[in-house]
Amino acid sequence: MAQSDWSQLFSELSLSLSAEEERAWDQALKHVRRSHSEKSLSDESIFHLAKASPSIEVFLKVAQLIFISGRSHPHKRPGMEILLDYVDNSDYSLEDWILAHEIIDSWLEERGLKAEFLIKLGYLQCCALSQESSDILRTLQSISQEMLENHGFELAEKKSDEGPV
Amino acid sequence: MTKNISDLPFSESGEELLKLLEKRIVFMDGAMGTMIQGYRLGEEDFRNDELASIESDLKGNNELLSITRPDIIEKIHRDFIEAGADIIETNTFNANSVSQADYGLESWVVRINEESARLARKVADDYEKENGRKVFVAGALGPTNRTASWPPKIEDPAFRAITFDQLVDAYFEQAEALVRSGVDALLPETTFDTLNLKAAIFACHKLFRKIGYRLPIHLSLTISDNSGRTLTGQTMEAAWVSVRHAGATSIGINCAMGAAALRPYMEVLSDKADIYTSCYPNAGLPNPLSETGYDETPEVTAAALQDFAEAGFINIVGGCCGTTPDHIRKVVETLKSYPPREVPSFENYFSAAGFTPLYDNLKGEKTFLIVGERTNVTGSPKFSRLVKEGDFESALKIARQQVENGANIIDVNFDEGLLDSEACMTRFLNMTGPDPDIANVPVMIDSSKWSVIEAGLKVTQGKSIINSISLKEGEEDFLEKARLAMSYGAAVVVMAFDEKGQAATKEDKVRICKRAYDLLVDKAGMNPADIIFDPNILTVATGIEEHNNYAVDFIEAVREIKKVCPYALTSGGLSNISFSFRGNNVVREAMHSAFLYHARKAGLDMAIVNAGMLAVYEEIEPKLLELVEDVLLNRKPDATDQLLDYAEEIKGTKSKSKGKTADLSWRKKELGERISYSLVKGIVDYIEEDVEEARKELKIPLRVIEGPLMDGMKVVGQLFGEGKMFLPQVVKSAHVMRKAVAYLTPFMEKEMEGKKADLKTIVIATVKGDVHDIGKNIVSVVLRCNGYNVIDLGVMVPVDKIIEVAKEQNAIIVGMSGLITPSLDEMIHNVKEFDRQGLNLPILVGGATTSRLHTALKIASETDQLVSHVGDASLVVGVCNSILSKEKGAAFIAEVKNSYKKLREQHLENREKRAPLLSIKQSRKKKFVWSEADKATPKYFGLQHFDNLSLEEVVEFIDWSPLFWTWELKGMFPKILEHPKFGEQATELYKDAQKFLKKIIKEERFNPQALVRFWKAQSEGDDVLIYDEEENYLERFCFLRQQKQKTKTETPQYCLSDFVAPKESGQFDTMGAFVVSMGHEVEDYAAQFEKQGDDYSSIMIKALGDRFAEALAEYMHKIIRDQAGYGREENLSVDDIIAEHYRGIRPAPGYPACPDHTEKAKIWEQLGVESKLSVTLTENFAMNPPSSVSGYYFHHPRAKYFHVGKLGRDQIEDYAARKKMPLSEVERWLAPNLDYDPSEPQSKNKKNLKETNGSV
Repeated sequence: MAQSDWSQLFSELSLSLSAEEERAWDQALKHVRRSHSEKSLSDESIFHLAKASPSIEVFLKVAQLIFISGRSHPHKRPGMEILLDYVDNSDYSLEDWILAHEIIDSWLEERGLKAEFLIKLGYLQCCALSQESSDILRTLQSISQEMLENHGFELAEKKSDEGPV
Repeated sequence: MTKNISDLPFSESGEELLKLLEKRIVFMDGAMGTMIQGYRLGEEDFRNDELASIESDLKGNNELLSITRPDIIEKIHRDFIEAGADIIETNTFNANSVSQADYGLESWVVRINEESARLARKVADDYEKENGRKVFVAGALGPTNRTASWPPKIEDPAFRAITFDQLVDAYFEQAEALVRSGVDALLPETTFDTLNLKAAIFACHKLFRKIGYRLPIHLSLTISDNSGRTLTGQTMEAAWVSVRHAGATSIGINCAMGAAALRPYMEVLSDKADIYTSCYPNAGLPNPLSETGYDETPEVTAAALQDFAEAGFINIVGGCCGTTPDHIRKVVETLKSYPPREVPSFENYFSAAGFTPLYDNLKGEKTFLIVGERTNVTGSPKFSRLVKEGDFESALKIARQQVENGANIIDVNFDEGLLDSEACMTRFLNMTGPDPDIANVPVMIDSSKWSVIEAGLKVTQGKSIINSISLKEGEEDFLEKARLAMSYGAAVVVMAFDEKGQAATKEDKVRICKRAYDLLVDKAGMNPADIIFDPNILTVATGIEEHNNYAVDFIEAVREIKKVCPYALTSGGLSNISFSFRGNNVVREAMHSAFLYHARKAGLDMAIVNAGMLAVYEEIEPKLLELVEDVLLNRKPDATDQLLDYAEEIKGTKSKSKGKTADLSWRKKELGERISYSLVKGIVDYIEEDVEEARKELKIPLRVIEGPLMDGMKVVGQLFGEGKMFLPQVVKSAHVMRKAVAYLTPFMEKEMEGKKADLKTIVIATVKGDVHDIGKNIVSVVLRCNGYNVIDLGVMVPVDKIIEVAKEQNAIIVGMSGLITPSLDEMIHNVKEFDRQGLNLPILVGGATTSRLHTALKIASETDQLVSHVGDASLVVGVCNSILSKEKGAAFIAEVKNSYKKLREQHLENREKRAPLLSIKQSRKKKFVWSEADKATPKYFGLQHFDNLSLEEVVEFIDWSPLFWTWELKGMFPKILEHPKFGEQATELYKDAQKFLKKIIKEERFNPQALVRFWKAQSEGDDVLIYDEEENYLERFCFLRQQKQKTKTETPQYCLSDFVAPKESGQFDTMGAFVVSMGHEVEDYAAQFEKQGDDYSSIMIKALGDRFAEALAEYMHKIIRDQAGYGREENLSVDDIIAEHYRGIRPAPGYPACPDHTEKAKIWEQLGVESKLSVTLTENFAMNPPSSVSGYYFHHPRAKYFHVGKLGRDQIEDYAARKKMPLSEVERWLAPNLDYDPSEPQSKNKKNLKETNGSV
């Protein structure tokens, strides 16, 4: 990404940030840019992801999951591309998806479980689709929470200390 | 710079073939040789003027016939295509320089391949032109007549009749000629030696890099006997692992011993291969007495392959030796309706192979891998001596011992100045190749010289591991070697070395490994699981202080590398760590074991060790362990000195146990328990007998109900509440209860003389304008089971009726149900009326479109009474009991009200955060742009009435999953039948459904009918105008457009009108509409059971009616697609059709792509539905009878289902104007889609609307 583009992104991101937060975001963005190929996460995608993430930690975590997913399925489409397709075909924003993903992660974590990123996205897609027959647009977080409580997460696996997920 | 194979695009026809494989089973041709044999050709047929001077006998060189008798080859191709083959093979099985050398025709190879490919191409293209069906040509690459990994004479195991390089040259020459002459795919087949196949793959990759694109490669192996192994000893699974690097489109088995014998091996491939699978067997074993020379008839071959299709093993099928066009015809006929095998997807895993495969992390299974180190001239003086003496036979014994001692891999190294390392590597590996004791495991080819590594790779048929490559010589050299490694199909050990030298600290190790990882994965396209990092185990306790932390550095580096390099493995040469303690094996073994213990905890995946000399960590004497760990973990400065004084060992064992449960005869239990058992298990057979016994015992019949029957139902209620019983079981229990009560009723009437039992009454109804009642009926049953008197008012109940009955019957609760979205509005209206007319009762709300949020926001806010949403039937008793509880009722009501208040507040907050909308003007600018797409023409434009439809045909299209959801069994069919929680109940339900289904079909209980009509059509903005055949205007269908702003700039804002040619194009397109119904017969049949008190059967009939209606809609769509032409080319399985993997859509008004129910009225008018089908629309546009489906048909190839989602006021105003309907009315019908509150001022509503130029 050219310096000017970073600045543009930054000016949008840092509207309400303190100088310290600004520095932290700068580092995080550079870290993600360095650790991902352009094919895995384009500049535009990093931009979307950063804007939609509620915190630097979540931004870095999702970026890392996209990275791992690319490594697990080197011949599939990049995880970010799949995520954005799902987002665009739903009623929800990328931010909603990321927050709902956090709900799933916490739920799995509490139960000592894990699931691959793409499997979690598949789960969220089902949650988003279930909204289609509903009346009022409920938050994707609340639908996911309810789905998890009612249906569990069949494809989750026991978490071990080993393994990248 | 060398290109990565995975980055090369596929040829256009290659892409087409891949698309076809996604959709269905693809058919190959049969045996070329067998067909040629049938012509009984003589020597003269194999010759022409140019071949006249060839001295050797040419008869039998079938490939020459492409030049000398093209008429015959052409006819054979044609016959197979006409039999249904999608892929024909070129007549080039032996057209390689190795095989042609037998005839002295090496110089003819290119020409034979070119002529054969052109011939096949011509036949395929001619056929496509004449018949419109695409036929693909695969360039056949036979195995040659030599084995690269096996000695021709067992007395000289190191000798090979052919080398890898010779094979690569031969295959390259052949493949290049085939590709140049127009084949669509390459097919290395009948592989009996995986090394030959690897040479073919290497050649293909070389060719693809040269031409800049790739073709699908279809790999096919053969087995020689019932061991299921290749001729050179590999299992199918190991062979798959060995060729995973090919980037092949499919892998499979051909020829062999007839189809049936291949089942277990196809099963293995199907389970493990994450690419398509193929099977084209011979027609059994050769039989000289048979006409084709083989035993199996077309029926036999087809039946065996059908079994594979049923089991989901295959994507590509065809025939090999002995199979004729009749065989292929039969195979196509038999298998065409089966779905293709679903290609499995695994989380990434490590694999290697010898004769058998070796995995780590496959399906989550972790294994610590031991690499035997003793076949290494630098580490084993004995091995070194034997090799130097040329005693390779004895050297082999060391390899054998390593495997016997548990090595999963053997490391082989000949890096010694005085040895010809390349020659030693080749000779030793050639000798181990046929030795099953050694060749069972993969080889780690260890050398610092790349030429030695390549020498090793060229003689191993399995998937080997290269030890090692590094960044020592810079990135270019590193990547070049990596790409070569990938073309050989090997994993690589990467040493933590770079241009500056060996990494010693944790930071350097991690930095170099991460750099190498990124280069390998991102630049070379290597699979991360094929990378094994060796971050250098360096010797500790050397007396040099800076070496003391080496073990810690390694362990911590491993931990970090596992984090930053996902799916890569880590390894290390273990012996190095203890090198300072040479001569003291006790200490060394303890050090190795303790080091491994800590390194494994950090994530170490494998280690190079002396497999026979590893101590068990737990068995290391504690004092020794402490001292060893002091050294390894750098805990004390004097640790080394203390350790030098110490050594000792010990051992231990384990045990197992089993358990079994016994079954009891419940009829021997006490009366109360028997009644309870009957109720819980839903057994009606003994209930009257037991109830009669209870009546006699308790004297008063009501006491039987209040006593043992209610006790039994309490158990049912409790088990249901705890999730230990499921809805179908509860409904069956209710049936038993009803039967018991029915038996007691005459006695009670006599006894009570008209007095009523003191039961609490709940009035329940499906609201006005809605006809759906399955969920409501289930709730009624569950409430009755729990002692409530339920008055079920049925469907389409006006609010006045609910109020009247509730007052008259002194109801304590009122329940409202609805399925379609307008029912939500009806419920709001009802609640207001309850208040107005003084019906002050708690209200329950349920049904498919209702939700807790809607209840809180729109219904509960309209009244002071409690309104509680009941999400499913399992909750209703809990809610009712809580409401009516004297102790907790008030608190419960307050809690619900409070929670709804919070929901309202949260919703207001969330509204501020929701995804922004584009203005309708902006959305229209981003519409899906119609282009000169394929405008399929329907067969008929007039009205088609299908009234003689067969239930038996429709049943094939049933999507079963929703049937289970009706009964609150959550999961997908057929997986739900094996669900740990619901499986047993789901299986029982499914069996019951099948019984009903048979009866319904046999007795023709339902009356399937359909009305379909197509019109000429043009889109005008977001509307579609329809015209009759003479182009007279008939009607305007109004649609809505997505306004939610997309993340990706290129994603369109869809509207259904986008799929129809716009008026300004000047062209007429087409659009259709349909209504299907199973008739009033469904409700009539269900009513018969209802009258008998059999709710279970009644609900089941209605649920099946709904399934049938949906299936009929799917079935009709298939007919319509077939009529339009494109449907006949689909060849989709029923599962694929249910999953809508076809061209065209059939969206229904009232559903996400077109949520306005009122548009149904236009369909009704245009199709004259009421006069022909007696399906009517209620005031809220629900269809009656309920087992009916209606919708539109769009043919456009890129038409897709989408969700219109939230809509802004600007679009709603525009829509109201287009529909000529008052805005308030449109807002009422589309309430669920409004992004604004119509009661709020416009300025506030505009907040979420954006007028932007780009994406978010």
